[in-house]
Order: sequence, then structure tokens, then C-alpha cells
Amino acid sequence: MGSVLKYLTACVNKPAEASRFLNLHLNFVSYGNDVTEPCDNGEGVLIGNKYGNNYLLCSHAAASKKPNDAIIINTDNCLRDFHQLKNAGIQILHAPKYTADGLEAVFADNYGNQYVLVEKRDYSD
Amino acid sequence: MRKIQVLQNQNKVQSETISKVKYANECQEFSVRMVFNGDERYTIGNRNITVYPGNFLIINEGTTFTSEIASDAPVNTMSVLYTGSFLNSFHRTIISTDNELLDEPFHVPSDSMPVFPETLYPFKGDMLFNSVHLKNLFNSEENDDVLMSEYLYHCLLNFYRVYQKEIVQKSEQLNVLKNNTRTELFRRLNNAKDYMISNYNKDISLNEICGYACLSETHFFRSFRQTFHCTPHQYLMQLRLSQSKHMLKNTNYEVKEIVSIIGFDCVSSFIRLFKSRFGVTPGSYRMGFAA
Repeated sequence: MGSVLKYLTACVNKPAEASRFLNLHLNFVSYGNDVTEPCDNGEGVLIGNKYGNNYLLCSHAAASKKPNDAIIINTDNCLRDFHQLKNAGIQILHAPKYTADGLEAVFADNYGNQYVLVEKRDYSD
Repeated sequence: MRKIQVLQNQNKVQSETISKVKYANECQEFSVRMVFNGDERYTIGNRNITVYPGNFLIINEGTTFTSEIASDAPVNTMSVLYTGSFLNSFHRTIISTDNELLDEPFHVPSDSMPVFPETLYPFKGDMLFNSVHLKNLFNSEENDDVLMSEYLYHCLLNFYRVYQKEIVQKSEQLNVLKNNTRTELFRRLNNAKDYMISNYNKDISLNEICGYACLSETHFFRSFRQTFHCTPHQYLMQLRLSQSKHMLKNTNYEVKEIVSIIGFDCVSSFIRLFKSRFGVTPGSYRMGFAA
């Protein structure tokens, strides 16, 4: 029996480039680019990371006036990943800040896509 | 063996895993002192303070103290030390307005060195998360000065938030008009709190705690409730239950051993209290981490 992969669909500018960006800088892996999903513009690229963030990256519809939502990426260490992104010259939109759920930073790729790096922290203890 | 890393800005991190050792020091830098298992006993003046994994200790620049690890089992400790100039500069960015920082970017008044209560603070939340990341980086082979400095900056930021919550906000809850009286009363209550934390597993009486705090029983009881929103006895029970939680999560001690270590007489009353406080039995709580 095959395993079921759960994923979220995210509309981005230039899905292939966005996928390469995430593979290179945040250790995402591509599951193949032949997965299709009824999103605004045909084929998408399915990618995921070890924290269970699976995304089908679809093209942003040219006709849509609504900007793309930022893509949420979970991590176990926001400061470390932020530091690596900064070293790699990635455009940082917001340095790590504390929220009720943990620590998060915002950055962007060269194609106008935004990403929120989230380290969830359990404050209940 | 002690390992020390001195960063480019001269801040330091030091850590060791050691048993049966005693040090005498004068603290050259402001330091944050923590343990990840077991305990470390400090003597500052005539005060004896024991640091357990649920708390960290602050020691100001220039304070003379001794520290001791008495147990045969190795204890993993870590200290983060900040130079006076770094702390001063950081403090200024916290207390100054953006305009002041823009108008005089490099002005750091020489007499503005902050001095913090040398007391035990709760080691949880962001302070704990960031310190664990720092410890992991420190123990790895990576020697990344910039990332280490980033962690140290965040630890100090986290400490300021803890200070605000534990010292500033709690002292304001005391119904005392005069500032000096409030500061002195809060200092004595903190001494009592440190005494309770340091001796949480012993059979300590209210009389003993009050003697240590130099406060009459009724004054102490009333002021303690105002500040910590519980009675001293309830506070002691919370300490014991929190320590038991830490041991259930991080050690292989059997429940009955933990009950004995934290100073409970009866296993069944411990289980009942644990369940009413956390909603699960100690066994189920431990199973949750084993799964």
C-alpha cells in the first residue's frame, strides 16, 4: 500500500526557481515535478522538508491581483537558519522576533516570494 | 574538563561536566549561570544558593563567590559571561529612545552599569530554548563566532524579559508606598525564595524561612502572597512538583526514588498532587516522552 503525502498548495512566482531556492538554502527536497493540482496555473512542484512542510508550489495566476501568501517553513532552530540565510546573502525582511508561538523570521527569494521561518516553542512547561 | 570560548567581542561561554569540585572566584564579568542536571551550590556573602536545572543564577561584575559541585555524579554546567562594556551598551539600547540612540550613537555613560539582583530566576521559556541551542553549538565542532554572539545577544535579551517579569513587575505588586522600603522588602522576599528553592527537598519550616528573610511570620506570609500569588507552602509544593517533572522527563529514576529525592514522604500523595496539578499521573507523563 502506498503512503499518503499531505501537502499544502502555495501560489508562488516561478515555482521551479522557488523550489531550487528552498532546496539550496533550507534543505527541502523535490518529490518530482509531474504532480498536478487544480491551482490557478496548471502544474506545480512538490517539495518537502524533514519537519513535514510539504508544499505544492504552483504558478501565481497572472490575472490575480491578490499577492501570494508568505510560505510558512518550520525549523527546530530559527536563529541558526536565519544566520545561514544571512551568510548566503538572502534578503531578510524581518530579523527573528518572539511571538506567542515561538521565534520567527521573514525572508524573500529573488522572485518576489516571501517565507516565514518559524521555530515553534512549547511554553506550557 | 572545562571548556571556554572567548568571542571576538570578549564575551565568553564556559561549560564543563564535572563532579566533586570547588571553585573560589571573583566574577570579572556579569554572568548567567545554569546547570542542566544535578545541582551547583554557590556562596555569595552569607547566602547559600543552589542552582538546579529549573533556575539560573545571575552574578554581577565584581562579586566574590564560591561554587561547589558536591555530588559524585557529573554535573553539566554552563555560564555565559558578558563584558562590562557590552552589557552597558546593550542596556543603553534597551532604556534609551530611538532619538537618543541616533543623536549620540556611541555615548555610553561610564556610571550607567546595570546591577541586577543576584538571585535565582526561572530557567524556562525562550531563555531555556536559546540556552539549549547555545549549549549544542558550543559542544559541536563548529566554531562560528557570529552565530555564538547571536545566541549570547538573545540570551541577554531573554534575561531582560525575565528580569522585567520576575523583579520589576513582582516588586510593584507589593502594597508599599515608599520605594526604598519596597526594594528592601522585595530583596528579603527574594532571599526567602532563593532559600526555598535551594532547600526545596528538605523539611524546612516557615519559621526558618522567615528567620532567613529577616521578616516576622505574618509580614512575610502577607507580602509573599502579594508578590508570588500563593502561600509559601504552595510555592514549595510547586517547586517539588516541577523538579519531579524535570526528573521524570530527563532521568531514569523510578517514581519512588524521585519522591524521596524531592522530599515527599508518601508516593500516593505525590501521585495525587502531581495529577491534580498537571492533569496526568507521573507514569503517564513519563510515557508521553518515551513514546
